[in-house]
Amino acid sequence: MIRALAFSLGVLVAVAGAPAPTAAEPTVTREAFRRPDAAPHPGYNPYSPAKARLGKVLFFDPRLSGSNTISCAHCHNPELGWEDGLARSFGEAGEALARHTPTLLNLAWGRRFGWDGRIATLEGFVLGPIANAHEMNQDLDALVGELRAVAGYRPLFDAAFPGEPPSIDQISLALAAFERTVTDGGGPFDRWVGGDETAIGAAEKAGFRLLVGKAGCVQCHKGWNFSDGEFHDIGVAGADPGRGGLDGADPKLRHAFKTPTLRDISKRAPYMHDGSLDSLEAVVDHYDKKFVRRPTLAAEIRPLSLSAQEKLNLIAFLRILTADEKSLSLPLIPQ
Amino acid sequence: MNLGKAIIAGFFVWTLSAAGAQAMSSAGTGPMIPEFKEGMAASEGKDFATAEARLKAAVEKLPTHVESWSLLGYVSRQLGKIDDAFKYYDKALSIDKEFRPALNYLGHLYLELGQIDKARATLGRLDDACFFGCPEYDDLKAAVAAGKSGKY
Repeated sequence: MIRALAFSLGVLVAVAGAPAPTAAEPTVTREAFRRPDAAPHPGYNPYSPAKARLGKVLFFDPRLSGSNTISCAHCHNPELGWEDGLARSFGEAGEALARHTPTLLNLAWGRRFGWDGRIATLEGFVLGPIANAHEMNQDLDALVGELRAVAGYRPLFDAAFPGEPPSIDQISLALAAFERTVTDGGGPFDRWVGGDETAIGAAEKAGFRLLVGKAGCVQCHKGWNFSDGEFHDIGVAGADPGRGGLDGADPKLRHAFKTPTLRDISKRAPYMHDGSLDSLEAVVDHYDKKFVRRPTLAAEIRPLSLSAQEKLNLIAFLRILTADEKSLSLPLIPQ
Repeated sequence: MNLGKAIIAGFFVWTLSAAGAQAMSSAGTGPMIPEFKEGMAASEGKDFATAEARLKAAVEKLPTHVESWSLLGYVSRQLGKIDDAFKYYDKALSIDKEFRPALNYLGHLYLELGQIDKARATLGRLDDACFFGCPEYDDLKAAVAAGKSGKY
């Protein structure tokens, strides 16, 4: 039976061609995907344009690496959904990193950062890659000295933090303030959520119904950012313990990684925490039946028996999660 | 032992005892009120929402209970309530400026926020608070070193 689809705002979404919603196939409203108007900034690091401007300059400045050769943008390229297009990136020394570069999109709404969520704040997270010997390999105290010696940085720091000399703390606050401005900005899907029925096509709408219904993606990829911010073992092969490797971790979280946003997903190949899947087709095949079965596998992961057409529809939907183009001006690096 | 030496020895014993008593106080030896005990048990069980509620009850009952304020700060941090965590650590340290758990937790909170300079300053306060060394100082010192080296 084909259920009538009531896609007006606030009306429950039923699922075309799918059985009645069960606990595993939640009923979802289109309203649940309405994006917020503005990114939140925490009380301990209130937004100011000067602080975000300083953070943006720092983000693109290769001085943040020990050898002054790579910047944050080396791995987080705005053109590639703030990733780098590699399965695993390379640190300053040319050594492959342990995990795939995660996107920076929409981190303003994040609660725990990194694939295993080991850091609770963005301010704490931004310093890690800079100081880590395998990544940017920069001594943080030396960095402060280096930036203090650059005349062009003085007005930027003065505007962001009046009356205080540059410090590690300020670098952290400024980078985090900038990264909270990195949002996808919305696109066709958001216009459809807003009531424009012509914003997306029939295949995409069918894909959405699969996402919230038969395919069950919405159980983890929920809300406007398509992420629950939680950690799940989705059956990617490999020995990486994920969140289960943290001190005092719940053994059930072995191989569990944070649900990434699906925003701009078509720009962000390859996929998964290890970059092992090179296309959206491979991702859908993984969830359909190619996942690894093991005791820690999330209960939500089960064979989907998707038809070829359903897979195409699901992928069509994922592709329209690409935001409208918006230009990002690259800053001049102070001298 | 002549009388002079005995007096000097006695003085040293007294000062060491006094220092020890202060250190004990700053490590938390307040009354084990039931609300605090329940809050601590919930925190150890990672039930931070319950811990928060019980510890709020504890400080309402006994507003000078430094252990409860300090643990409430820790629990708030675990719940992602960073601004509250700062408020509760400040309260604990306003009651006992050398309360070691609160200084340790505060240092960790600064590290979590990428505020390494402030964490180092807090480590200095902790150093002053535990003249003869203490586990809280060792713990925060290791965390500051790890944070600065990007072991995240």
